[in-house]
Amino acid sequence: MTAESGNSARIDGQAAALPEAMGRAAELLASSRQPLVTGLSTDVAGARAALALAAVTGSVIDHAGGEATMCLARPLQDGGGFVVTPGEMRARADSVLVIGPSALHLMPGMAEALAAAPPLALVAGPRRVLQINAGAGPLAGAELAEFPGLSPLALVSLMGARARGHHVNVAATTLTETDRVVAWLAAAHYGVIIFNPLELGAPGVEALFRLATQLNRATRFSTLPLVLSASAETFKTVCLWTTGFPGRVNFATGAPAYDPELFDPKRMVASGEADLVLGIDSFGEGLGVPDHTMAQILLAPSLSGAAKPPDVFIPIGEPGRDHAGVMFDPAIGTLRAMPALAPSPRPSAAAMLETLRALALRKGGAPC
Amino acid sequence: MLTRLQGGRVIDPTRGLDGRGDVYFDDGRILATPSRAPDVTIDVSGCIVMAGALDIHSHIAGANVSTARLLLPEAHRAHMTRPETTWLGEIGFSAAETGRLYAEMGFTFVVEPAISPQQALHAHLELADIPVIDKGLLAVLGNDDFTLGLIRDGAGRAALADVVGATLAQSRALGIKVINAGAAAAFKYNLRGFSLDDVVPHYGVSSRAILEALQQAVLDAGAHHPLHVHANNLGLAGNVETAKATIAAARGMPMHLAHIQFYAYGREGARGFSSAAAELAEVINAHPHVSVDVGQVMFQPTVTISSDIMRQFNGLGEARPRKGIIQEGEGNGGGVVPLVYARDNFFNALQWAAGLELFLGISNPAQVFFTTDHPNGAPFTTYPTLMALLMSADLRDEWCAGLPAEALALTHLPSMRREYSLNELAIMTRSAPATLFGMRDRGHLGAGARADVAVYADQNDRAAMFAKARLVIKNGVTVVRDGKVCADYFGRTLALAARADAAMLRRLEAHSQTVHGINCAGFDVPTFAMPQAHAFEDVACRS
Amino acid sequence: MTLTLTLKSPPPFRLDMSGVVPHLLQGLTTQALARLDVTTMRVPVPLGDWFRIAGTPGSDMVIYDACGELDQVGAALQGGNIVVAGNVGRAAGAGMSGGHITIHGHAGAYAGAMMRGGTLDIMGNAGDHLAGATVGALDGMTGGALQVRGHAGRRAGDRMRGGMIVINGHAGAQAGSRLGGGTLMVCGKAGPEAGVMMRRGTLYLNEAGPLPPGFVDCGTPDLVFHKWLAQQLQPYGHSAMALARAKLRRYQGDMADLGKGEIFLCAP
Ligand SMILES: [Zn+2]
Repeated sequence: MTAESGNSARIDGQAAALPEAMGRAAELLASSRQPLVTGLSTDVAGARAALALAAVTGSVIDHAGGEATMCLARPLQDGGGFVVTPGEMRARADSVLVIGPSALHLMPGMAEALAAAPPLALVAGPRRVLQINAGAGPLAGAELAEFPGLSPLALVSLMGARARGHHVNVAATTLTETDRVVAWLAAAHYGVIIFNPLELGAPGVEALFRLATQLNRATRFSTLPLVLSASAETFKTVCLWTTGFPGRVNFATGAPAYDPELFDPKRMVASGEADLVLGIDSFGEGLGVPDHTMAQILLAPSLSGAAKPPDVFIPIGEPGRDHAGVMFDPAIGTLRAMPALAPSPRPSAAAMLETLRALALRKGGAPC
Repeated sequence: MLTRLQGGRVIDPTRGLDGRGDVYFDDGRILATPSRAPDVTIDVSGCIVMAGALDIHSHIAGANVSTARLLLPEAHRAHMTRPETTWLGEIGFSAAETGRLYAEMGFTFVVEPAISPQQALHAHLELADIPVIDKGLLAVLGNDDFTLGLIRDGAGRAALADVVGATLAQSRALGIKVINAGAAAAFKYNLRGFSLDDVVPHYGVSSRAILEALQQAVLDAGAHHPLHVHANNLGLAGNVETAKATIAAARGMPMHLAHIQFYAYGREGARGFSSAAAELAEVINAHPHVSVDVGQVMFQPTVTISSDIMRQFNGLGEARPRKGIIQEGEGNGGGVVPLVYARDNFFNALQWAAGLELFLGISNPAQVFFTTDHPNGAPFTTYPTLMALLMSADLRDEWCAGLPAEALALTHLPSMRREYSLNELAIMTRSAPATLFGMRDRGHLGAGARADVAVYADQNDRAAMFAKARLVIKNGVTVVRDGKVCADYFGRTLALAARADAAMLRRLEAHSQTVHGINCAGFDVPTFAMPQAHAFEDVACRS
Repeated sequence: MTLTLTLKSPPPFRLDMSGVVPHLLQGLTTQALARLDVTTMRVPVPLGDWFRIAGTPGSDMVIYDACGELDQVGAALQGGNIVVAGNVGRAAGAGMSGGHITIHGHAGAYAGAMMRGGTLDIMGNAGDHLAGATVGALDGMTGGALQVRGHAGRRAGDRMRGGMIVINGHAGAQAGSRLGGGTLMVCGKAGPEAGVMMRRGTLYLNEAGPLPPGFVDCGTPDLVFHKWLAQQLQPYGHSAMALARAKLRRYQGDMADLGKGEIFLCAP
């Protein structure tokens, strides 16, 4: 790799040989009081290596888009819930309730899939689709229902209360609309509710799982939370089997500790508690560098887009293009292997992170 | 390097050995007494030397296990007020801890028994991160639309064998498990209970028909391990009848019934819940072609992880803490429900006793396997205590003294005085499971066997003895010394080299596209996806 | 015997004070106390590096010049008294089962989280999730008494199942969320969606933002109990007593859940 390519390693913005840049990164890690490993727009191998590096350097680690992960994880941890894979939803769901405007546009092919009849439904026929608060994103062919002025939590709670047959305290028109939706839900044989965790927020998602519990008393229901970021879901998956937690983990005192609020990367940066950020951005999503003046190490395919050059830049390849990889695929609801489409010698994030880990171990960066 | 383990008490049921002797190994294999002098001699006098132990049913990896991890952060308390011990804190519940803890007990091979073919890649990546031990997995069929459709359409024996072959090959599995055959599909059509002769709506296929078809198909596909069956009506009073009917449905052919403790219940007593373990043990004794594992319950909080989604849904009300996750998928899906097994709880005490009654009532230790159905009956870390219970009637009496008399009165446990010998334990945890999976080079210490050896310091406290092996050798490498993992070693995942029929793969792909809108090649487990170049080891099919 | 800790200067990182509670300190020399590790980072942080230590460990402890970086002050306290001059960070008094903690300053999030007994008195404001449940825990406060003289953040009393909370000032959104029992009193104004997902238990609110739709108006019952309650509230100050004596409208909810909780809101 030549310095002129624009993709060479850099130290303080100046082209540098890779070994020097790696050495500098290892020094920064060794001298940091509290490193933060984030970005994590990367594949399974990158996530594994990042977690291993975080473990030896006593870092806090989470995906830069971890907020959406937490909006789903927290309600599941606090009360449990029901979820279904996209493939089974397509096959079985005779009724699909879509909440909010963004839901279907974020999932490629979903709108077309919903338009088709479910082949395994108990009663043959077209799929019923109802969209609530479609706003600017109504789905072709769907029935619509609008609940202006209600918070997502209030909206879902309202449906829950009426599904239980309880009285509520709302305007008559809202009550009529709610009862129409609840009757529609009750008529489902196998219903699925599609939602965006970030839009509903953790309390709204919790209320939604309680609604699903209630609906399952009489008929069958599940939910399909949208996956907003494939790399965030990939990181969550790997983090769970590596640490037992879905993210927001701190290795500072040895064993992994989990706190969805304390170890929020944004908070760690804003409070100054993290004095070093190592960003991993294998897909060039711009998730690597929080806008802050602290020391930075960035692993990304290129430097373009970074407002302030990081202290150390390490060029890496893209999984599924430069090298093979494994990523969560929202379309199938699990991990999928990706061969290298255009194999190149550019190193993977995993390779660079493993090297950094070896250097950090040599520098005695392990926690006490 | 030729190594000698000198002067230990070698217990090797495969060769009928139980006595003082030496074990030699070189280059990862056990040798007969060699002609040349060993390069290294390790004195293991005063120790018991066995082959590495095998666990044939332990939920250690995959999407459902990760869901259980997700559900219970509070059980770690790592983020809360300092040192507070919790059950998850003790077992870690991570891939790394799983391998470490198994190895320290002298286990060298563990089977994850319930992986959806769609989630095989995830499971294999997790297994690859479990250090030290070798691993394998069973793929789950029998609630998926494709298999049910074939049975409904009378597609025939060859087609089902091809589905099994293709599934084994694509999932890189060691065998096939069926979990409450047809019930997960029936639950999607809103049925809430399902027995052997109940029929799945939309398909018109009974649970029995699915069971019989898959049992034959697994044999035809050349898997060593017979169909691994999780029967209907798990946990319900009177379900011993289900277990007996399922054994009869095996029609004299090999079948493995998982965690039968959960099917050993009668309806006697004031609460209509009693142990029928003695009766079930007799039936098992009379059907030598059937093998079972126990799924012993031990008293502590745990979490149940099961692809018997109907049962898990019905069990949500018993969740402690009160939460659970029900995840539906293309076939079985999975349900995760935490539970507390308490000593003073009538039902739990009865379950505990029923499990031990089965261990003690089944005469042939090669027919009954040692499991807690980790973590469903208890975490695998309770194995050493369970081994001690099997070896001492006095210890069982001590435990019984602290249990509700009402529960014990509905079991035969207090009168059962059988005590397992070390040799019988070695059969149950070494030689028999290796045979069950057709592994000729595991579970024994004869010449040519893999150099997987567990050495325990012989002591009266059997629980302490089995908890921390003095020495564990894996493929000739010393991986545990004085009860602690001492090497950065990774074993492999064993996968059956099954035949995937090209025409059947095309049919599966077409089905997946039309019904689920998914390209099923996305579920492949290519070697390039694994973190180690040699993550897999192929096992030849039954000839 | 009283142990006195004086913070030398505000640390640029968080300190974990959960190991510095009376029952863990008995018999420790000043030198041993100074060596106690209070780090939340990868390097050890001995207590003595940041605090001047005086006195002998006993049932009582005073922390001077405290600041918001001190987490878990008095966590899991079993008995005795802790007095804090200054602010504290997260989870002060979390999981305490007895004793008294008085904070002459503000407290961060999760103050009194999952407390089981004892009293926690916060003279200033409290952060979010006052007396709440940490992630995955199904119960918040189950016993004891907690008072906040100032204001509280979002979700005060989240998942509370027993005990008493009085907030003399205002509370943020969703006060009394997921309440399963016990009593939460907001003498100022509660933010929107108070009592959301409440199952059982009681909220007293002097003023409130819009209630969740699952609260049904049950009129203005005249309850003798409230007159008795007002007398019991004397230690919590005039505003608490006045609230109990006021004309209160009763709402039942949250109908999205069990619906057996009640909100008493001052009738306008
Ligand atoms: Zn099992």
